[in-house]
Amino acid sequence: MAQFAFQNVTFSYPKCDHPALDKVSFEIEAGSYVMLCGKSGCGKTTLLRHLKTVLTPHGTRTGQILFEDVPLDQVSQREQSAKIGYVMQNPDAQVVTDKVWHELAFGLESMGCDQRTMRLRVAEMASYFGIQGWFHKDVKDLSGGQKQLLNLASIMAMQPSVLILDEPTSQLDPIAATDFLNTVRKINLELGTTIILSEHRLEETFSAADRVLVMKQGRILADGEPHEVGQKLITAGDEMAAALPAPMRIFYGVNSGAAASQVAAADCPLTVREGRTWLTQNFSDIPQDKRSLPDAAEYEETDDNIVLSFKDVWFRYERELPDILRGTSFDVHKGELFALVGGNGTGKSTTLKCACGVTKPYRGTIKIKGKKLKDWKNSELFRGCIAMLPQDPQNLFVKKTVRADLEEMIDSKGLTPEQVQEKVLEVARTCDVERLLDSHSFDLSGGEQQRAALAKVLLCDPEILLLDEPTKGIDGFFKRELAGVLARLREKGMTIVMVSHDIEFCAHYATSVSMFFDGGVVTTNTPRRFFAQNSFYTTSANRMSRHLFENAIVDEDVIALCKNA
Amino acid sequence: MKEQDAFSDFHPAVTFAFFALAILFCMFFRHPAFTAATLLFSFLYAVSVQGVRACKFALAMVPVFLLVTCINPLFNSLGKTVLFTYFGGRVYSLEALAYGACTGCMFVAMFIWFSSYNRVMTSDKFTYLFGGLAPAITLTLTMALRLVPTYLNKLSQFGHCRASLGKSIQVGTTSEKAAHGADLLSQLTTWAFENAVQTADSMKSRGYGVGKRSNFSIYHFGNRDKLLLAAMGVFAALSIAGAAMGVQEIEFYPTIVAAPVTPLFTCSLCAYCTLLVLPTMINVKEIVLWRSSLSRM
Amino acid sequence: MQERVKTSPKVLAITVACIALALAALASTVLLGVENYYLVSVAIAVLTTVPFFATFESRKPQARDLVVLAVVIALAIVSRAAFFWFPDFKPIAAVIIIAGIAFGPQAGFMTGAMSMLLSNFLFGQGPWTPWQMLAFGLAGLVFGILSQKNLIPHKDYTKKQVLLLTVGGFFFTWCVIGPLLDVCALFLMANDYTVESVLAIFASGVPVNFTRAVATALLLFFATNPLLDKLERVKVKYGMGE
Repeated sequence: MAQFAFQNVTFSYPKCDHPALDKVSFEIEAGSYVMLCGKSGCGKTTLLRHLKTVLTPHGTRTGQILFEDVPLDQVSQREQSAKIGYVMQNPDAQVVTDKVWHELAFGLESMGCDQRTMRLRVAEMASYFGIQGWFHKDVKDLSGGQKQLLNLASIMAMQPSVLILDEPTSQLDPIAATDFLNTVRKINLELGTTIILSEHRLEETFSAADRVLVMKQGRILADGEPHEVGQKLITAGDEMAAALPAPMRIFYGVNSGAAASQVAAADCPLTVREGRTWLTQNFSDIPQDKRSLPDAAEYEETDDNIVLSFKDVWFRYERELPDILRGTSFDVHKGELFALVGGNGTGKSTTLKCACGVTKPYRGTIKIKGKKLKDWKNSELFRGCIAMLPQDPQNLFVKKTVRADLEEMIDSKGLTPEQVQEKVLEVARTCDVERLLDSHSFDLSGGEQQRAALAKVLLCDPEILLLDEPTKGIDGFFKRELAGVLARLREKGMTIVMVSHDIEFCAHYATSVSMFFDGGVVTTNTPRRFFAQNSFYTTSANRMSRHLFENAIVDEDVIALCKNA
Repeated sequence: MKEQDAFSDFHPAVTFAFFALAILFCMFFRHPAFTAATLLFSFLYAVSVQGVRACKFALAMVPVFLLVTCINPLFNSLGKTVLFTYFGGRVYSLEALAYGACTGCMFVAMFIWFSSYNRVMTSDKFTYLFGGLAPAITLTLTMALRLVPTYLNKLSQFGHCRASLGKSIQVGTTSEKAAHGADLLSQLTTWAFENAVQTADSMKSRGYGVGKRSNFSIYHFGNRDKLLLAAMGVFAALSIAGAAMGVQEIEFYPTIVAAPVTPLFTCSLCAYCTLLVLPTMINVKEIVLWRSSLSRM
Repeated sequence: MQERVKTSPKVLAITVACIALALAALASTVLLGVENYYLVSVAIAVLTTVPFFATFESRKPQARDLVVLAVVIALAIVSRAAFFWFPDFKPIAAVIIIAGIAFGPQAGFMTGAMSMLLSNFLFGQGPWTPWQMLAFGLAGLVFGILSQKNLIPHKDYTKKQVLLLTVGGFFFTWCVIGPLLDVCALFLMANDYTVESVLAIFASGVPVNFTRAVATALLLFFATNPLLDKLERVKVKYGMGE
């Protein structure tokens, strides 16, 4: 008996001519771990929301959805609430009450459980999820990862047989995300709960899944076991192929073209461990001289063309609080894409805030274009010199439409309305948001919001652009588009300073990478040197190949070395 | 501070009942002896809960007390014992001053009770107590309590973001600043409602509204709660009985005439004092116990 | 509007009981000469709010109703933080008035009363809590009724209408909310009154009430249309708070 069955389901939103779901049919067996992937806006969320009646969007629908062989709309709300758990993207917005213990019991209260049952279930959940330590805390004092774990625990307290997760880790930092996904895996393995997970972090989840569904424009593009789906995507030349885990991409990069359809899908490595074995088996006889890529030039610490410099900067938010920045020093040269990487809460974002003068350090000097920050007038600094894109792009939207938000940034004195519109259009073109100009900012998807916010920031016409976690919560395609936009800006001579957790993104696109730790910069280097020297904090491709190759940090490096052999 | 306040570990119903009685009696029992007792014990309890802070609070209350005391005779010229006259014949009387002092005492005592109440009866206890009576309202309160810190945090983020675009909200004329504030609030409103939609989904998804809700609590109503509640009941009843029989009757004007001190009066006053000292005793006992168990270690 | 939903017998009984009790409390002072005016007045204040709360409960509000109410309450409370550079700027009444206009009298009263209850959780409960709940609840109620009876528009205020609302809000805050809170202080301070003492207490309240009224008026002036717009979007897009 299939737990869920979609029978030819087609769905369109009101006032929308193309269907969001197009003749979707599949079945999900109880106890399986199903992963749903696809480009943003391909209909993943719409599909998942159809698995629970209260969350199903309004619109026209044909076809049937069965839950345990009964049409879903005939399953009572009570049964659905208990049996079908649903975790959403935003950790914050899902929490209802102000105390951890109360949140854990929220679903049980709705079910009208008696006190004894609730106490037992809550105790069980707190123990299973390791919540005892913060059981009495206020929700406001939790980290994002803890909040999402709390959401999961509070749903698991109702003992669902299916757990649906809609991009649950997109707002979390990598460590919290891994923890969360491991917990989900544990639930599947230890309790046999069916998992239906949509994710864009394929690197970690792809290998764990029993089955992968790939969606494209409302249709199911591929459906099957991970190895097969991978091969299918590669041979079809679909753009989703680029989102596959690095070992897979390298495997098919080496066996490219016609070879891709001839190799046995099961031979393809999914994890770094399998990738290492595969490399060892096939390429350990490469001669030493062919095992290394030419070493990139050493990072030069010149004094020329420094546009932003921190010298021994100390900062704390309040007098009683500990220091966030502890003698931070670094220089950024003109035209660089300077990436600051490092763990959570080490002070990376604070560094950016200090760089644009939003927060003021109590010791040390920050110079912008050779002039001390405090000597800059506000009007000069933010007109043509520096601007910052915050972590949450929504923080920038104050008007009704994207257009109005962009217009707000233009000093319209001495400009005709046409000239203002011309400026708006120009920046919209750069950031690829032209068709979104008249939408409400909050109706855009995460990646679109990111680009609209970037457009707004660019209207400050900055020479130095500060980006706080620009790839957070956006999928691989938008990341590449963003990289394209950044490249165009650098061509125009802009310097970009970026704070990021996204190792792969930095490895691909940064010109120099700095490790930030304990309130200061530990080391700065070119990405190749930086990641080749690290052994944990580095890219999948590097971890997979470092026992054989030197200096290979991105897929293309490893593929080139393999092919060269 | 937490470990000093053993009384707040009792069941919220007991804690709430105590404060309700204490504050009601504080307003009803207006005989100077009773009011003095109220002031004394409210202060002792506050010290046992808040330590030095209670003393600071009490000191800050002294001007209030003086104000209320001294002002009363200005408005009330009924007393017979004239202290002095002013404005060509208006009387400033001892009786009115005494009455003012009593009111001042009551006033200060009530504020001290409330300051302890705010420390002990936290919002989660309150919502738990009334959760059965008004489930939707208490849940709304709980939700709003969670939203306030979130919104404050978001407001400061918005402010930072405006500043990082060179549109700082703190510069400009008063009217511009007010307009900025309104912009900030309306930006927050949009953001808040977009998130609220997800919160509503999350509630529905976890079965809100499918049936009668139960009310989870982490509190136990144990034997010591029963015991304390019973004790409070007895002493409260004795105090009320005394008041009902008129032991507290007192006239301030034209001269101060109080009912004679009878055994019943003494009995009622003692019961009242015992009632008020209960939580302080519990706290002191706890401290002593800890000290002795520490010294044995 | 939901205001027209049939009242359940339970709520009706509660309402009748509250009115009876309130009258009894009143009678106890007027006829029997009970002198504790503060307690009597608090009893009346509490009894006034109870029927509103009971009505809200009896409607079995949906998740979205609770969320909207919680959001508006929280917004009302943090509204002062948006103006942190003005000391003592408390425009909370403005948010309540706007909520009343958008969501009607019942929801308006709830917003006002509960904002005050909650704000006292954060800044300290006191003997003034019931009075504040009543006074600010009234603001939501009155402007809710005005908007329900179409005496003032639901949205898209013209410049002139904004100005009128600003003036209305100013005087309501200054001359209704303020004095109501002063009455609380009055009953609390003393039990025997003379004309002078009453006047003195009201006079001492004037500056505080005036600042509050100015804050309210300023926010109404700048935020009426934007906020009503957003509440309207919520109603249209998500069917919330209707």
